[in-house]
Amino acid sequence: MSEKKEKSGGLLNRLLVENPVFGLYLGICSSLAITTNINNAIGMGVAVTVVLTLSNILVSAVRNATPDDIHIPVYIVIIATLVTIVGMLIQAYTPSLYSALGAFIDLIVVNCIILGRAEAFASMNPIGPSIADGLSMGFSYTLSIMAMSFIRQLLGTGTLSLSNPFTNAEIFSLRLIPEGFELPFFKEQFGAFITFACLAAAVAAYKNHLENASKKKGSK
Amino acid sequence: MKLDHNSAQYKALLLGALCAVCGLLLSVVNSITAPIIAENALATVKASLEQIYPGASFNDVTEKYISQDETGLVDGIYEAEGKGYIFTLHGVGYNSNGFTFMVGFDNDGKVSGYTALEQQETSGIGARAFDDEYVSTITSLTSSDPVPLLSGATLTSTAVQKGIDAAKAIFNSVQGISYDPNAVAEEPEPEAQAAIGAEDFSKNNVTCEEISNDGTTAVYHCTALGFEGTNEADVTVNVAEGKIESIAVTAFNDTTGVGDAATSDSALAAYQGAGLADVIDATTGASFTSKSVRAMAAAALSAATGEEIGGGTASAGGTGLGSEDFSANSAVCRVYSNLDSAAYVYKCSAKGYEGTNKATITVNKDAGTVTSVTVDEFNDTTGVGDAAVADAELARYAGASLDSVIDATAGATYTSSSLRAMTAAALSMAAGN
Repeated sequence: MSEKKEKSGGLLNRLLVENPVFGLYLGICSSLAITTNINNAIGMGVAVTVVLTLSNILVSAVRNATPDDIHIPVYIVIIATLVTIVGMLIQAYTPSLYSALGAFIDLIVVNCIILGRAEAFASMNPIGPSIADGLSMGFSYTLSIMAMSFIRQLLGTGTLSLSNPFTNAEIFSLRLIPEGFELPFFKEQFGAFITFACLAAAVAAYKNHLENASKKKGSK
Repeated sequence: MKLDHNSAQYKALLLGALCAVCGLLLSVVNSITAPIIAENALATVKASLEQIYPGASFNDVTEKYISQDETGLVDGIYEAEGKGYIFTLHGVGYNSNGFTFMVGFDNDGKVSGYTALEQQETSGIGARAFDDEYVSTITSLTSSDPVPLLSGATLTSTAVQKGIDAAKAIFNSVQGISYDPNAVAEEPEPEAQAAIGAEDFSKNNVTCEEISNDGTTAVYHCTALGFEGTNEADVTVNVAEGKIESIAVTAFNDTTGVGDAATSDSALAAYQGAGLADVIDATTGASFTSKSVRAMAAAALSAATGEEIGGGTASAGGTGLGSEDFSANSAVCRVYSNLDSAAYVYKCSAKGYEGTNKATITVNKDAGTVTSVTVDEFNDTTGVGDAAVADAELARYAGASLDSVIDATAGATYTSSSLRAMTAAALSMAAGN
């Protein structure tokens, strides 16, 4: 296997196989709740990415000074502080996003991805790789919930739209499904579960395919 | 001194320091964002508040005074600096979704403004509680005056009265104004009601059928539109004297608990011995039902005596959209958009002459009147029915409410009827009926 191919395989792995939402099943609660439109998904994705990256930096920075038996309280205080700050900034500067995301901003504190990466990665690695890990995990979380909200908004309302959260000015709005042919249940919770299940199944199928392929290679 | 990383002191110090740093960070960010957040919250109501105090600078003092509210009707309290206070309130009138409104008091204790924020009360009835006339009644009051009710819109105006009373209680205690909270507004001069033979019953579509008539006593079975349905009664008339002997309501289709005040035994007793020249007072709080009973009484008397009654009966005058019979049109509307804060948009369809016509109807939320009717699909006879969908014809619907009479387009009655049916359906949806 050439080195180039391994690298591209690695990127795809990060996005799909190690995808926090569909691959590792982390952070599902918020991804089910807020993926009714792309705007919310981007807002949530950016908020989580910012918190994740900053918490990775801070956790990594204090990793050598933190005794093992109090590392959870230390991480939680760091994460909760970051989430509260991000929440206050969102409420102040993008009030429409705040009212759309509501309690789920505060619930970033208990988003498993963040504590999970603090535990599994940032507490054992230097700051540089921790930043990279936070950004890439945040990025694939954002992509995942954008994929879900793309499907749910398109099928549920027939329209794709995006607006500037700072001014509420519409950037574009595109009706792709004629009116009367939308499937409103995609806007509801069960629509979220079905969308999630289909995407997770697709990722699992891809994983299986990769395993089978590598087994075949191994047997040859 | 070097502390061991595993010593209790080190752990306590680390957590303490961490919390101190985090607390400091949070308070810095909070001090930056708190004023912006407060301003954002105010911005959503500011446009409404400016209706009462244009250009004033407002402070949200809800937190400060809301604990004084014993009714739970007060949603928000805003101070207009140097001018007065504004209260946002909610209440439930006829429409169970309720309504919100605001009332302002200036620093002298005068009511400086009263306006609906969101209401879907029945146009022409409950919605009159937000009409200019009632607004000017309210704004002529002070914070010590009792709030008068609005006859014919008792449910809605009672809810308004309760809300304003709650606002008065807080305002007066904040301003240190003493007043009598139990004072009752003087009954507004009752409109000199005409004798039932002269009243205008044209909207009641009253009909009477003679059941028996032995020359001295005649019994009529009558029907008349009340508030939301048609009420029926058997009226026994002394033919020779031209007076009612008894009246028995056989079908009541108005609001239970409201309109039925007008059909109680004591209310009906007032009709005994009444002739066309007698005045029968409307039952307070049940004006519409009461009027339907009076209409039936008058019609029965008219039938027995052969005397004309004022305002005509069913045949006289046009019938308002809300009262026309459109059952042949099978009009259906669905909400196309209610995102616009000022208007509902409905997509409607109804049978015309040979096909089903479709139209988009926009209804003003506040006024409950039609803003525009545009025909989306015309499936009747070209050259005949299309007279009813000409622009000039459609323009006649602008401003129409359920009470408006819209005449049929001559020569295109079927198509015109389908349009009126759709308009009536859209209006009644908008009214929450």
